[in-house]
Amino acid sequence: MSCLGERLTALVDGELGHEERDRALAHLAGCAQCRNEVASLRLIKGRLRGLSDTPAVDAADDLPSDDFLTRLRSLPASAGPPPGGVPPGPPPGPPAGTPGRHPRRPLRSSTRAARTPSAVRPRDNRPAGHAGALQIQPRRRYLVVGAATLFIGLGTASYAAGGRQEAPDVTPAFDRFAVEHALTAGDAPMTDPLTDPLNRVTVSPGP
Amino acid sequence: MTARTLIGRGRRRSVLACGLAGALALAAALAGDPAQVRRVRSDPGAVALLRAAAYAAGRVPYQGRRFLTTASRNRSTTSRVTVVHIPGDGIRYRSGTAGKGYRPESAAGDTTGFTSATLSLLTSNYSVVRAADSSVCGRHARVVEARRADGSAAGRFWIDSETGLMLHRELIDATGHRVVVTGFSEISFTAPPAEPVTLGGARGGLARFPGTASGEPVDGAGGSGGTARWGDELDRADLEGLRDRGWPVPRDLPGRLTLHDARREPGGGAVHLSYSDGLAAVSVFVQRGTLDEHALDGWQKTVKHGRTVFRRESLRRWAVSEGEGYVFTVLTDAPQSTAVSVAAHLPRDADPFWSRVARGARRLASTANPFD
Repeated sequence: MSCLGERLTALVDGELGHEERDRALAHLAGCAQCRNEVASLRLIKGRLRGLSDTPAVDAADDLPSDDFLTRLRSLPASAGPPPGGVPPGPPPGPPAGTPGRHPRRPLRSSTRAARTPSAVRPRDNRPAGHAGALQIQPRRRYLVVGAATLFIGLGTASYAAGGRQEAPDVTPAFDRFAVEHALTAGDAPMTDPLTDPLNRVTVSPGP
Repeated sequence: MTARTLIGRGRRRSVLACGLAGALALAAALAGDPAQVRRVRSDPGAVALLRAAAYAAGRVPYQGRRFLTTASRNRSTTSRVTVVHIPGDGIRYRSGTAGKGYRPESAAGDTTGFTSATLSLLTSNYSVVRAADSSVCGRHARVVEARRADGSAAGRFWIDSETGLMLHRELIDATGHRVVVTGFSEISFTAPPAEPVTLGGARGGLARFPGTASGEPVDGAGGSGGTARWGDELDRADLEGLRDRGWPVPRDLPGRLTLHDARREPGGGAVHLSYSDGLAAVSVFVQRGTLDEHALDGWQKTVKHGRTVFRRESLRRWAVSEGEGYVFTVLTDAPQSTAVSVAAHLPRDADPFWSRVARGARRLASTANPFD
C-alpha cells in the first residue's frame, strides 16, 4: 500500500489541486514505492484508454461508460465482431507514462475496475442467455407485427367474403308444414284451412 | 365383559335415537306442506294412464268423428274429420272437401300427442294427477289433469275406462280459458270393414299442391303408400353438424319449450324442429334462404322486440320470421302469442358487421377445408 493512499489515484487522474499535486510530486521524488505504484497505475490507464480509442473516435461522448463498453467488447463472436476489431492480445496504446496527456474524459472508473481481474473479461464468459435476450426483442416484434397483419388480413378477407350472397327466395310450404305438425301433435294430418280454403271450417265467436 | 355389554347397549340406544329423530323430521317435512309435495310429484297411476292411452291408440279398432277446436279471446275455429282405425292398417281420415288423410299404424300411438319424450317433459314441467271421473261421448272416462305450480289446471285428458283410449283432451291457459280442445265427438268400437283401395280419387287436399307427393301421409290410396312423418330423423350428432354449419337449432325456446324431435324433409329441404313443454306442441320449420314477402299477402305484419314477424291465425297459429339467411315458420295450436314470441326469439342478424365477418370466416374455412 502506498503512503499517499487515495491521493495517489487522484494524482494519476489529474484531480489534485495545485498545492496538493506539488506535495505529492515532492513525496514521489523521495519514495520509490510510490513512484512504482504511480508508474503501474499509469500503465494500466494507458492500456485501458487504448482499448477505448477506436470507438471513441466517432462517438466518444455518446458512450455510456467504459465499464459497459468493456462488457460489450467481450461479447462472444456470435453477437458479431466489434466494430473496431480489437485483437485479443495486449492492446495497442500509448506507452506507459504518457496517460493524461490527452485525457478526453477522466478514466477514474476504469482504474477502479482494475482492482478486479475481471475488468477485461474473456470473450466467452458471458452467459449465452444475454445474447438470446438481445435477439428476442426484434423476433418478438416481427411476431407481433406478423400476427397483427394476419389478423387484419383474415378479418378483411372474411368481411369481403361475407357479403350477403343472393340467397334464394323462400316461400314456406305451409301445406306440408301443417301436415307434418299435425302428425307430431297427434291430430288428423289434414291441411290447415290457411292452405286449403276449400276445407270446411266453422268459425264462431269465442267464449 | 360387563363394561363391553354396557357400551354396546349405549351405541344401540344412540343409533335408535338418531333413527327415531330422522323419522320424526321426515314425517314433519311430509306433513308440513302437502301441497308442495304434490306440486313436484306426479301421480304414477295418472302417468301410467297416459302411457297406456298411447298403447291403446294402436291396438283398439274404432270409427267415429274427431274435431279440433282452437280458441282465442275473440274467436274459435273448429275442424272436423271422420276417422277409422283398423289395427295393422293405420288410421284413415276423411274431411268433406279436403280429401283424405292417412296415418300409418306405426304412428297410431302418437294420436294421444304423447311420446316418451313429451311425457317426460310433461312430468317435469307439470304435476300430473287424477281428477274425478266423468263421461264423454256417452262413455265413462277417467280424467287426468296436468297442473301448474300454482295448482291451476293446464291440461285435462279424458281416457275411456273400458278401452284405455284417449277420448278427449284440452289445453287451458293461465286465465282458465280452454285454448285447444280435441277428441272424438262420436265413437264406436266396432271394427269397420277394410276400405277398398281407390286411386287418386280425392279432389282438393294436398293432391293439389305440387311437391307433396314424396312421403305424403295424406291422400294415401292404399295403406302401405303413406309414410308417417318426414323420415329423415336427425339425431344428436346430425343436429351438432347442422349447428356447425350455421343452422340455428336452439335447444330451448321461451315458455319452457324444449326440443324433443328433429327431422329433415326428404331431399335436404326444410328442417322440422318439434318443441314441447309436455302439453303444447310448437313446430319450427327452418329453411335456408330469404323470405319472399310477396307470398305472405293477407298476413299481419307485426314488430316484436324490434323484429318483423308475419302472423296469421287460422285453425292453427302461424308466425314467420327470418334471420341470418334462414326463414323460420312457427306453427302451433297454442295461443298466437306463443307463436309470435317464439318467432321473435329465433336467431336474427343482431350485428351486421360481426355476423358478416363470421359468415365470411365460415365460407373461407369451408373453402380451405379439404374434407368439407
